[in-house]
Amino acid sequence: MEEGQRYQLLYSIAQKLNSNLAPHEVLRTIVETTCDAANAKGCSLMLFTPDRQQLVHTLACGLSDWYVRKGPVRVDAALAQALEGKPVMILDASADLRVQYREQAKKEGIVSMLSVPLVRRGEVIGILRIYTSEARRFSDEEIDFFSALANLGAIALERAELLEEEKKQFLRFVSIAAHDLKAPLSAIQSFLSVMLGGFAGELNEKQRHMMERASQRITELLNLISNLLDIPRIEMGQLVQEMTEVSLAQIIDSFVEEGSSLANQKGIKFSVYVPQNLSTVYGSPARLQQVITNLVNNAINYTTEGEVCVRAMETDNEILVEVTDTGCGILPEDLPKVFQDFFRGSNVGSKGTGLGLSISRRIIEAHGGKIWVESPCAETGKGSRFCFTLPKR
Amino acid sequence: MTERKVLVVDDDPDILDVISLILESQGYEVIVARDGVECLNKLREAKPTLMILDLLMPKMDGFAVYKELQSPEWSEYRDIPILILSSVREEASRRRYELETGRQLDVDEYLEKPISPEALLGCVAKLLERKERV
Repeated sequence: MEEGQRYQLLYSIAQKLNSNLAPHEVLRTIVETTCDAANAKGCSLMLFTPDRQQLVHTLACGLSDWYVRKGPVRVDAALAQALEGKPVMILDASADLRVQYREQAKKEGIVSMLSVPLVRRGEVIGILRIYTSEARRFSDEEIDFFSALANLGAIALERAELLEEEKKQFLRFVSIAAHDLKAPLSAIQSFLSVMLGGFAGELNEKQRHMMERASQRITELLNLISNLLDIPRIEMGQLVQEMTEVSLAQIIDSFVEEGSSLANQKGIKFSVYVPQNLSTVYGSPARLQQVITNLVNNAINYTTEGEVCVRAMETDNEILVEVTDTGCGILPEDLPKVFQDFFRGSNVGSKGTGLGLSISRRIIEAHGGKIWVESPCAETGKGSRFCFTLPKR
Repeated sequence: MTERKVLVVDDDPDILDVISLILESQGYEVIVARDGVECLNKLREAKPTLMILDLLMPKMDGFAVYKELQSPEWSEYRDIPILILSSVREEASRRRYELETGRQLDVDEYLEKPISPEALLGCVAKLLERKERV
């Protein structure tokens, strides 16, 4: 590769570092660019474990899963030098005694390796390693170039850490904001309930009516606050901490009572079909419950006669849940917008926060699933059919 | 009739007033505390029959109070039922406690704010009944 081309590559990566691209995207570009520029078999970014005793393949290209996952790499003679900040060249990885996984390297088809240190503020935090499938001796110019790429990698990693810290701080801010916004409303709502409950003397009809309306508005506002603050939490990946093995059958089951009672009040039928021994999924029980509750509540709200039905079924690798209703349906021009923030159907007035479905979409997507709607429901020709899928565990 | 003394712990004076009003209307004696430290003091002084505990409070929060009560030093208070009354969702509180301590938040009842007088009275009555039976 010519000098001009190398400058060009360094420049384009430096530019990416300055853009809004996620730092991990930049790291991936660095690893792939290095691999291409070296015309190598593969390339891997290996970082220290916190105890600095081992290195792990953090991001790799051109290497088999088997090789990358063979386990953490002890700091051996081949690495020790790189960790002093000097590049290390190994001509024959299957024979060089400095290499720890000689057999595996041979099996993977690796012949030569070049390791350049990743230095951040004078400290080596890992290495960028290039693998070739033929014996290769890298020139000083090439080594300099790859060292420069590795340094850009170190900067990208630092940015990733800063972003992670910012994210934590923001989520902390969100939870304080949630508490401070809800606390006064909760107090007001509690006073209203006490008065409505007759604990502070008799109310006349007018007073009761107005207090009920005030209480209703506060309930709506509390819901809006919860919903608004849910969005950053879901988007910033807080769900991952809540994930565990979940039985969707159980989640649907636990809503049957409430759903039936709501449907009963409106004089519509509510039925649930969930096969016995439905496979489990990996997810957040509370959030999946939120999706089911949201879909069924919507279906009941927008249906005046007929039936609301929840079905779960299973394919080879997915679970599909559908909620169908025989309600007013969704206008064709509204269909593409139902999962957007603050969208309310033009045929249903301005009930609700307009965030329920957009939050459901975020929850399902955070689980690696899909959510969609058809209206009218193809099977019945009426109402709508909301579906989501989740990958099986 | 057995004693019905309830210790109510919350940093919001309005919430304390609401709960006191509801409980006193049914003849309960109410003692209040504004934070976790005061809560532990009152617990020793007054030996209540039941405790209503908020979770998010300054100085010492409800999680810390609950954790403290698990230590052997507080064993004679362990039969006092705890009703958590918080604006935090039950599921989120349980997870937070588990993450922070590696233990279960094994409280007797959990109510979410805003307060519904019926739900509150129902819960308190249930806990006292359960306690008397034991």
